[in-house]
Amino acid sequence: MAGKKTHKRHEKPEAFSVVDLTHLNRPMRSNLIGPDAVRSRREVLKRLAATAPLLVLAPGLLMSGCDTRTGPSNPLGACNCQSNIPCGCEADRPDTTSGNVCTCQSDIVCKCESFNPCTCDSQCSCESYCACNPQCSCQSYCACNPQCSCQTTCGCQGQCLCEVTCGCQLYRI
Amino acid sequence: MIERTGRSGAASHIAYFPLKSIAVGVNRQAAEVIGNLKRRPGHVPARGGLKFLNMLTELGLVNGPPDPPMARPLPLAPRPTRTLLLLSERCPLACVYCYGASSTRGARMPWPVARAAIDLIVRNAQAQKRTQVELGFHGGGEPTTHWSVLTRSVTYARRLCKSAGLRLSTSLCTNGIFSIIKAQWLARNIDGITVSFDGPPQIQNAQRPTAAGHASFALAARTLKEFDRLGKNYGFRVTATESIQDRIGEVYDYATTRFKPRQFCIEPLFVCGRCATTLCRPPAAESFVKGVTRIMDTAVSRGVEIQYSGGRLFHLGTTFCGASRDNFFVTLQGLVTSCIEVSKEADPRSNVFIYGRYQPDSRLFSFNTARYRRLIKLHVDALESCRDCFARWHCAGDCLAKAPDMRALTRRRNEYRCEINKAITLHQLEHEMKPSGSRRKAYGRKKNA
Repeated sequence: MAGKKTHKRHEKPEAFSVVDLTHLNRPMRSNLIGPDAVRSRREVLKRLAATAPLLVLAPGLLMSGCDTRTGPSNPLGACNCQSNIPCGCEADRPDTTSGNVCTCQSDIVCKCESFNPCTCDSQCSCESYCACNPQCSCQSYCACNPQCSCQTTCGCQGQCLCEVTCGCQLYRI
Repeated sequence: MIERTGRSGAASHIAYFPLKSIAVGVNRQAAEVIGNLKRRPGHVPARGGLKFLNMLTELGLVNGPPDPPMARPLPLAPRPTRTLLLLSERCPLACVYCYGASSTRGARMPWPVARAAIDLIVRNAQAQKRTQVELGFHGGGEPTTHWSVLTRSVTYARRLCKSAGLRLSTSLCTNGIFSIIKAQWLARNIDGITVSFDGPPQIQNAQRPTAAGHASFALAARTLKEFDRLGKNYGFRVTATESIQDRIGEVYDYATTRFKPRQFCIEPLFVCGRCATTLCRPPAAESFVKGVTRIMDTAVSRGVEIQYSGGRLFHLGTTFCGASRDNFFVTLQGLVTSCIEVSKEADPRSNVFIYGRYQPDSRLFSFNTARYRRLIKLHVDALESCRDCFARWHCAGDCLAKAPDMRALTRRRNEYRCEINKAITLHQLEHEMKPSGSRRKAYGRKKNA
């Protein structure tokens, strides 16, 4: 039987939006992810923003450290905080700043701001992933971060799993 | 990986990486690439996938640092620096859904129990070099019905904290049924006040009648007006039942236009306590989600935080609340429980949550350390049923006390709440993926319970 020839279309895998969610709870999330990772991600997203068809939506990230509640900001430039609350500081906590540095006010939630020098004091609760507190041992970052000791080796080359340093092609999540 | 219902083609899925705080809207083919990679590390897509993979790699989603450890170690013996005192079984109201099934008669906390709890948290705070202790008051019944111990506790704690150089933070959950004089004292002396209030008169009076069966709206409204006059920071706690499941928007509009709360917390009814006799039922999950997401969408302009305990995209953690951390809640009998909803030894859940008691002879608290250690291990990593859920770190296993079976705490969750939690969290995530940006304020920020 002469049938109609059908072609199965092979779409390419593509991303249509990338959203950084660090702004949802900046102190908690930037501590969790690591200040260096947040910084490098910001650069990657800026670059990807120019790549069609990828649409990069990063409302928090592009605010360069502005607290989303403090007012509008320059989308790609400097922080334009509108209030006297320093960038990244929580509005509901006392403002004890030196310059533009947010100071930890609570031993429950450390206010380390990835865009500013970390000012954890001794009462900052020591999280294993907090790179700010020198008393905390960094457990989870790879050798990409020079402050961290490499914990894991790459299956193919015996080196770090970091793509940057060892070129290991074994993709993993 | 979350499939977006009703969408096909571009961005039909969300690849969500909660611990890396990134969400990527992808097409089906990209979703398959990520799924394959998760199942089989090293898998490389055949057709046009390398560019996509490189993008993920650059973002640290592939070959990035391993996810950080989430569980935060707690001391192996309780060392609380905050307490919640369940002062009284008495209540002037007879709410149709009251979990405490309180009445106008009932026991109240003896002063020595309250004092011992305050002494303990201050002592611990000093030993741990903390800067603050927290003192809260909650039900069973209505805490303001034990006015003398409430006020004495605040005064006593303030004096101790002053001499120890500590800051005192105070909170209260109340029905708002008391005199203007008391309202003024509370406004001056309690930092955070949550008023259980169900909105329009018809609903408030039906769901929260007085013990004598009369309307309570005018009494509660008088207090709220006084708080507003004084500029007091307070929030509402609304219980959604089946009978108001389609009126959530109306409740929200009424409560936030007539009064000036800073937070609006809404929870679906959990059947317990007086529900056995009133036959009060929870809202349908779908209706609750519809109502809550709708008010979340409109809340930004009104400036009132919307809170629902299981829908909190802003939060990443391993526990739903302090019930599986270090909550030190003291009942009026002097029992120590980590869960506000489990305050009596007769409760079948007591062998999970009650982990200590006040000893009148020594005037100290003794703890069942083994039970406490079991409690603090009940974080989301231990919950098999949450393992593959995208909302795992947000609702963090949900309310342990509402699990369907205490003997299977790690294996079975409350499916009704799971459905709601996932739907609301996804709604929040999808909103963040719109170019209009964040509305963190609308979603609020739940403090540790």
